[in-house]
Amino acid sequence: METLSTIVLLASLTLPSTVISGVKIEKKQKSAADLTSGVGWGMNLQIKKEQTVLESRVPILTFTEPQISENSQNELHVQLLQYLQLEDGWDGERSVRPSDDTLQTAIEFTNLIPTIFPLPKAMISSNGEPGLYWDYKDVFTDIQFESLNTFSLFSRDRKTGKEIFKDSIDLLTVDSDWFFANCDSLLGSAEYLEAA
Amino acid sequence: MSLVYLSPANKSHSVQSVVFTLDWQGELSDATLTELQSLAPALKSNFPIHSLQNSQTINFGVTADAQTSNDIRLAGIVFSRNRADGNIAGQLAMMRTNCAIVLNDYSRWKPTIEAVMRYFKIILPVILKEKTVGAIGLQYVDKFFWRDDPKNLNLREVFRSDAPYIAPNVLGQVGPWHCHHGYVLEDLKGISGMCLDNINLSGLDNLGEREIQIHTTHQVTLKNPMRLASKDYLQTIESVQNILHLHNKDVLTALLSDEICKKINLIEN
Repeated sequence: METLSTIVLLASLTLPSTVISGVKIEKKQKSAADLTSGVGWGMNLQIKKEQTVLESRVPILTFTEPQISENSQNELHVQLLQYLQLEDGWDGERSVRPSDDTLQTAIEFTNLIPTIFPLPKAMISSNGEPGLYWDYKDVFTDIQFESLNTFSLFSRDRKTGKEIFKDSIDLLTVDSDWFFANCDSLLGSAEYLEAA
Repeated sequence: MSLVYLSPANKSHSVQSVVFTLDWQGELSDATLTELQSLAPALKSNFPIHSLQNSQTINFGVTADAQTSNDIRLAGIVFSRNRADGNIAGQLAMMRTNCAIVLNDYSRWKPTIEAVMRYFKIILPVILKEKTVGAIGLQYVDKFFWRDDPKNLNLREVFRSDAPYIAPNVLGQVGPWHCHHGYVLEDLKGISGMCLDNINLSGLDNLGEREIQIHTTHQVTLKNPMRLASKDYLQTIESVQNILHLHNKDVLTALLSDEICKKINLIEN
């Protein structure tokens, strides 16, 4: 009876109200599309005719649950957060630790990078300024975070030698349009995908 | 007009997320999933986290001699990119019967489809070695947030009174509502296949605030599934996605009032 009550409990959690006995319940693995709870895509409850039921036709419930193992932080964020642990003198006598404000600005900046843009790598200078950079065959771009909500941008087109430098950029002015206007060369330089 | 308190999900458009999908018949083998997993370095710049998704099947018996079994198998691989707070910015999920690219920060079509095609270029040779791709899909979630008392939201100002995709009864609702409409288009702008459209419309309360959600899905079942031997499969996908994108715009334009269409730049101001 204990098994049966377990089944009833599970059924109450997973079954639609029209479920009937003698069927197999399969809860499909959660796919990325579930994020949008789409029709035909999201978390599906499917009712299938039992395929593995005992010959005695006793109902058996089968459900499938996803088991997901993942770390939830991009390496980039992990690296930026690790800079918080630096102390003055981390890179020689005159080196200083980054301020919480500049690191916070750097992390907030990474949140604004549209997904279709490649993620940069993190760096830090001995004067405590955190930065981000993309270093590709065609283009080099780096961002330096100078103070709270303020940063500078340097970009060099390696084919033409053209350089761009902008400083005192207000983080509050950054949105996806800003990336298309200032960093679109990163999209053209698909070197990072050429390995495939 | 009182729509000043209705805000689209983004500054210049209402798209909250977009999903690109491919489907095939049958399941990918473990070997193919393993090969797809090995593509992680090529996808890392955009999707730095990759995780295996296992499915666990538990069989319960109700007779005295019934066996209880617990089977775990690989269900797919998910490549993702998160925000610093752990929220998902985008994902490329490759499951045994389909793959989906989810972008939760859509802004412009052309660079987006170009990026998506770069991802497909990486993964499709592996998938097509084993399966033919028979369906191409595009989904959008558009959202609008109402910043006033829900009873002041006049849905007749949001939707066209003659919109073919919404039940007229919805337009008079004050409380939450939902409307679902699905249909098949046999000939969509020259696509060789049938297109299943699903249009889900909802007025929901979220943390005390009324939201209007428009969830459109367009899935083309190709007359001739794509094979590795058909060298133009990438062009076919891009061409179909471009058509679906324009078709989605047509659907929204036929659904939403001129004022809303202007707000989200579907028609010129």
